[in-house]
Amino acid sequence: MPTRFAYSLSLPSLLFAVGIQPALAQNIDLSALPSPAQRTIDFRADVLPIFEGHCFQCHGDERPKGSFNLRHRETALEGGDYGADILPGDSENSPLIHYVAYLEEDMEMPPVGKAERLTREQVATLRAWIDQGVVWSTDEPSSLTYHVEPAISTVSVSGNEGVFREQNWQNDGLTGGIGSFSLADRMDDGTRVEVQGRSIFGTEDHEIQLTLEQPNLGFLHLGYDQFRRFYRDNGGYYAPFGQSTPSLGRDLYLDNGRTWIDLGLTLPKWPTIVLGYEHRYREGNKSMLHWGPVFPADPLAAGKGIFASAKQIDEETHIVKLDVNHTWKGWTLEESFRGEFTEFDTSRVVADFTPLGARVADTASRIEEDYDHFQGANVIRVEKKLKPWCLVSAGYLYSDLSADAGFNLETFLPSNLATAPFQGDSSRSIILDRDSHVLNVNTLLTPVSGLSFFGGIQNDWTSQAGVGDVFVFGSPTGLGANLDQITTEENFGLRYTKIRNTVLYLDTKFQQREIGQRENQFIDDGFPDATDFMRDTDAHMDHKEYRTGLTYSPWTWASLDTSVRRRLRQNEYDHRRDTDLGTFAPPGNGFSAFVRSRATETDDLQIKLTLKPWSRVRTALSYRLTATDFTTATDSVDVFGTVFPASNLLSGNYDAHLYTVSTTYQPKQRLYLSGTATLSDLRTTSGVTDGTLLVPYAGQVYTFLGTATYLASKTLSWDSTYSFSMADFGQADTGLNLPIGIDYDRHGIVTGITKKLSPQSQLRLQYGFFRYDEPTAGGANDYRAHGIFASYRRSFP
Amino acid sequence: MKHLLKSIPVPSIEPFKQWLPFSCLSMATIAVLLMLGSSCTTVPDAVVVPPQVEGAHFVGNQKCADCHGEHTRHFAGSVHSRFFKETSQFHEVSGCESCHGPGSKHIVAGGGKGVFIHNPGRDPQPCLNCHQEKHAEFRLPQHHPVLEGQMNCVDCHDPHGREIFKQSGGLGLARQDQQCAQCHREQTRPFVFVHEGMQDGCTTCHQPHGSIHEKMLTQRDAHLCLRCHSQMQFDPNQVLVGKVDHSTFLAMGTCWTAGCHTAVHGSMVNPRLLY
Repeated sequence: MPTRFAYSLSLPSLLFAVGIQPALAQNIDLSALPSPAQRTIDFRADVLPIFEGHCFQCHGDERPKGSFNLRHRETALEGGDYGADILPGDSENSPLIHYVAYLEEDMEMPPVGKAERLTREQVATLRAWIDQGVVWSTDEPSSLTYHVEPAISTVSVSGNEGVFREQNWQNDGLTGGIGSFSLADRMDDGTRVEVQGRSIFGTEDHEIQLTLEQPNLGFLHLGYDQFRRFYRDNGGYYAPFGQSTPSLGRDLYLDNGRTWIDLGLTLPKWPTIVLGYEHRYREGNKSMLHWGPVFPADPLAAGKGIFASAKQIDEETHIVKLDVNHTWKGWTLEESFRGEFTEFDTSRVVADFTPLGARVADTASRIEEDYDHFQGANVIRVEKKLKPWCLVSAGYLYSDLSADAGFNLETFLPSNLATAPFQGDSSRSIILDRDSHVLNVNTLLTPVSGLSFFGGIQNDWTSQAGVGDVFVFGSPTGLGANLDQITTEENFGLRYTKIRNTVLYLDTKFQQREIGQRENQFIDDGFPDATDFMRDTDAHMDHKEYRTGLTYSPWTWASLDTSVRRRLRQNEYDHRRDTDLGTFAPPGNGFSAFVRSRATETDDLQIKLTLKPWSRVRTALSYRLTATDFTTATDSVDVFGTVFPASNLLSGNYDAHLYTVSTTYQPKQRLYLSGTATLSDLRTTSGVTDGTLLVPYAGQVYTFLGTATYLASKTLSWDSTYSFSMADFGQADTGLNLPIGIDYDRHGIVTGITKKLSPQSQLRLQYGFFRYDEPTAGGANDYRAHGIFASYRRSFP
Repeated sequence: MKHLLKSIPVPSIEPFKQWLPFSCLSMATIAVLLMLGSSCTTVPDAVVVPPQVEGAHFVGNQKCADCHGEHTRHFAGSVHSRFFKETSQFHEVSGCESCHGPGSKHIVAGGGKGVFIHNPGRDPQPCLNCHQEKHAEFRLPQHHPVLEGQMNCVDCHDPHGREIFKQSGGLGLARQDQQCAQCHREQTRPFVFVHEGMQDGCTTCHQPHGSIHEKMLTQRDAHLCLRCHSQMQFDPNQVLVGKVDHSTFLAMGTCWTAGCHTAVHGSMVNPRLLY
């Protein structure tokens, strides 16, 4: 941009420093100025349109060029990097007039190409306005805006209320509060105040954000928000048991919230400095998939893991952050620090043995963990455009984490809590450390028009150590694990846009990771066996990813996006040492002791066609294929004298076809219809899939989302949304396995009207019906729900 | 590629066959015909529907770059630059304004956060205009609460391609799973005995936008684990994994739901990740 307004750190800074304004430093031919207009100037009618059309795009509130903000009288009179630009009562010597009259070389405003030059009449108007005292209109309408939207809803659920709450993020029963509110104002000096938020009781959904910003000074951002995550409280279902799924009989939910404050300093010519603090928390109970086994009365019958479990969580994180950002002689410098203190306590109960039909387990395990860490992370980053076509950047990240943890496992009798629990593994002293150094160098090149290239190399050195003194089976045990890894990642990309209406692209990513892992455990119980071990594994991981494609839009009514991606991942494990310390225990007990290497190979194809056959119809068709093969090579395994030879097998296969059709149709000006349908056809098998114990996990997922909006009049509109999804992953019961696939269909329709009662107020009434059926859960998760939602919005102006 | 071609496409679409007349092959044929018949002009809104700002018109990327250089100067290295076309008729569908809406009134007003401009950071709709399949995933029974307004797309993604703590494929110091770790600290913390599969990333087992399965798993049964943990079987009555016959355990449920390997992300005390 050829204007010295923008070069705030070069010549103008120097001139300003010695007290010489550019306009006064040169000979200005004042005779070339048009005479001031001979009439009383009205700011709103005469001046503001000139500013809006020619000035504000560079000299508004947001990052004004040359630090000159014309939006407010105070900032306009204050001037910018060159000092005062407007001298009230003296338009002839006001630099602003010299600039807009194009009297000063290199300071023409607006610069050529940015906006149209002012006419002589417009310059005359500005001169008269300055000569008349720079009157800023006092009858300007208030910049204060606000709205408040009280809302209330009632939802009646028949069936599994927990599943309804979990899937819809909505509590049943009566909920209400302020659905949304906002207040915004801008002071004469440009200070912006904004408050917004919501507060819904019943779902404990709250948010309030306060923003206070003053141009060229700084800002304060303050906020609090919380939402509640609901969970079902029931477990799995096994039809031959002839009973409904076990339930914990509790309302499970987790409150997630955070409070934050950011203080920023945005002084012109100074680095931007932001100091912040954030507090995050998660508190409550969530469901787990660690379902405990339920046993029928027949002692020979196998148990099935269907008994529900839950976990209590109390987690808090405190984060302090400091960001400094500065541009100096074309260099962008960034410094970011994060200091994070996290602590949490969790307690989960898993049923170990539950007789069929019992509401509580005979025996259960309680696993309690406590954990806290401090993590400091610092990033330094520099960036510069060396040439108009060459951008380079480099960064360095260092992070250090130190953690303490505790663990306790005990088995107890839920039906007889007076009985002392049996103490399992426990520890009060586990220490973990993790250090990382990450170095990154990048470049972005646009050597010729239409061709761009970017490349980056990143190295990540991470070292992690964990040691603990624990009690295993009641005996003191030393355990430890070290993990050292070096990861190198290379990213390259090409974009070519010179073929008419086409973008060609190629992206590649390569990653090499070297891992050294040592683990050991020794139980001081006098019995050296397979639980005492020492392992030393070197692993090499190689990841390659290629993606190429094009976007092409040949006609007025068609566009095509297509891409092909291939991902290859190869992991090799060299078990330098895998020793069980027992005399008779054969080696190779630990994971991944029996795995020598594994590879995944993924191909991905995407095609998307967008058509607009008529002006009122737009449709998009897309297809995506993802196919992955998993290959595992295993070592020979000796199981009590029987040796199974080494093997290399196709350990898994995953194929997915995803079809999407999306259409919008506007048959009349007042009627808008849209719909999106998807079909996902998925199939997963593994090397163990045998059709009896383990059948393929396969099925389809169908979704449809439709919306309709009709504007009945200028004050009345109707809109409806219908969403549907279903899946058929149900598995046949072969008598051996626990069928765990899911069949379901889910419907939700919300329809309602919005009535504008006045230009400032509107009323919204909606009715919703929700239905969910899951035959594979024996109907235990089904629900029907009816809801009424009402809100009233009042806004100003 | 051979592997890819083998898989194309044998979808089972029986219940909805009449609704899905377009196979992959026919779409490709249409695409080729379109390319062969290329002509000169393009109506921009054939590609996406940019968000609207009443009374505003499109101005092009260069105007945005005047004030927002910190985003635009890295844009060519971002994922979204795959769709950016330089010619002026594509401004509204492939540049800044395809997500933020037409910028003329924003410029006249002198800029400002949210002043006559859309901020997809708060409203996911501009993202969902193109990412329709993600919109469908957010409607599945288990999903992150983006449509409910508790999260937004930029909590995890960096659309401009440089945020240093988020994965973007661009020029930042992004590290694997950082975007998940900012909320799921319990699962991504260091463990004494870590699940080696964590090296492959969270999305190996989880479907982050939405899933039909609880905990947003990609699969619900033991295949999720056995894809990597299989080995050659020699006895039809056994399922050998490592040195242990798992047939009885698998009959009780999955590897983690049968009350066995419940510490799936890692364990502080148990090398077999039992608890």
